[in-house]
Amino acid sequence: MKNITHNKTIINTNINYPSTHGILRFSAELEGEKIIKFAPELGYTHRGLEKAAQNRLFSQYLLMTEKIDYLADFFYTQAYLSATEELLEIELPKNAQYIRVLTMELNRISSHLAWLGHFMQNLGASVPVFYAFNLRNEILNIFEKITGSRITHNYYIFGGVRNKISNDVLNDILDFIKNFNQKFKILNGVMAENPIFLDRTKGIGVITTEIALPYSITGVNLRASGLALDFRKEKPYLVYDELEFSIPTAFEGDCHSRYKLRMDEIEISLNLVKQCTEWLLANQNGEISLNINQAEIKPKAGRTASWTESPRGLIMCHLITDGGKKPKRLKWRTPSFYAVQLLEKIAADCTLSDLSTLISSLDIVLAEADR
Amino acid sequence: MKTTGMEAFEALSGLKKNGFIALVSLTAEDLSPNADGENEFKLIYTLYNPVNREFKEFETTVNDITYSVSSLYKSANYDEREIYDLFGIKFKNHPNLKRIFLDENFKGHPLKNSFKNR
Repeated sequence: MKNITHNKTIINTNINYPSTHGILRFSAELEGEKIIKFAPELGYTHRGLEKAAQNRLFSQYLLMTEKIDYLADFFYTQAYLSATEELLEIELPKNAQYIRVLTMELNRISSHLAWLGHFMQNLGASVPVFYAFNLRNEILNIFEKITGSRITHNYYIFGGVRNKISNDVLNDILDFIKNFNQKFKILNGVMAENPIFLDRTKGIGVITTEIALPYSITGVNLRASGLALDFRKEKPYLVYDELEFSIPTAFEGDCHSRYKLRMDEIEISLNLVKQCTEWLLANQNGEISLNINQAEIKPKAGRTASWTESPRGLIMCHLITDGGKKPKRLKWRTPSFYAVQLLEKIAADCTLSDLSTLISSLDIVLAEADR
Repeated sequence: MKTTGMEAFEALSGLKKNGFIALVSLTAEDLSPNADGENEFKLIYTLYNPVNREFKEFETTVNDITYSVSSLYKSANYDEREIYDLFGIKFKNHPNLKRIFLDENFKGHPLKNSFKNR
């Protein structure tokens, strides 16, 4: 068979995948079923959050940080607070630090569970999403008991957290951890050895460290290619250096290893939650906040950057202040921004039918990429 | 002070040869108008060396135009487009320098000091 020429097709589309939490617009050039050129376009959920910071008081902007990524809002608030608190030259009380780690790790689990449900939905399996969201619901119930709200919590404040976690709720968390594994096993059993699932994820969308590093990929997507870079260990913040945990890695770098790593991370986060809960049960009388007047936040002039490991990778908050009541310049480094850019490189090697697997395996949240 | 941006490009390619192969973040700050009444921006590059597990910040001041480092660091492609979009700094040798967040017809660059809030 000689001289077979495929006609090139160009697709211009706005796909609304469940996993991207927004619309990804791209143009793809196809040769048969194979993608040869992939060009994503950002900006459809741009809210000007960096510009907005310059016109708001420090305490007013605190609420906006949660809206960058509603699946992992605690991490963005922590990144912003940690930068501000460094310039305010204050150190948080121990209890507040443990409460922040506890809520963030619960948030990591809920974010990974939401990802898992949407990932399976993207693959065309509609059942696992219900199991995953049932489990996530239990975490949201705990958040509701702690903070009063289920998604954007407005719980962290300058110098601590808003309120104590009662003993009942701490015991609820321990119960949740005890029962989690059994339910998680059922959920994981739906896909772990499912041949269709394995066929569609193994060997698809391989990212090696040589590709990931120049594209500034962090988080699970990087660790799946073999480099154990986790900023909870690399640049420990809050009380992470007092807690025991390991960093799981994989070497294949494909969609399946990213799925497996997220499942491993859930277990590690559960263990961290357990350690924090037990510490808090043993030390109940500590202060949870420094009682700073929230409306009068005025950090000294300077520049700083905070490093936070979110479920999707590294969040950086660059903060430049001039001694006033408003930030002079605030810059967010969001992990999804770089993951979208990576698509240009790796989507160009796969087929159109694998594209949805690939995009959702990177855990891209477009609201976060667009800011 | 006038800069061409070439010194910064050479310094960064030197750092890349020394193992700083990842650009973790790239951001800008508007310092204009400077003493001569010209536009002046500070660019802040955060680099990572995976072998020594070392992070480094590299700062440089530029006027309206500088050299793109997207040939050294792939991730700089979008970063520089973002800075062009929000600050109006142009990057020479960039493969695809156009707005990334805002509409093509948008006038002005919102994070510039001279941008008037509406």
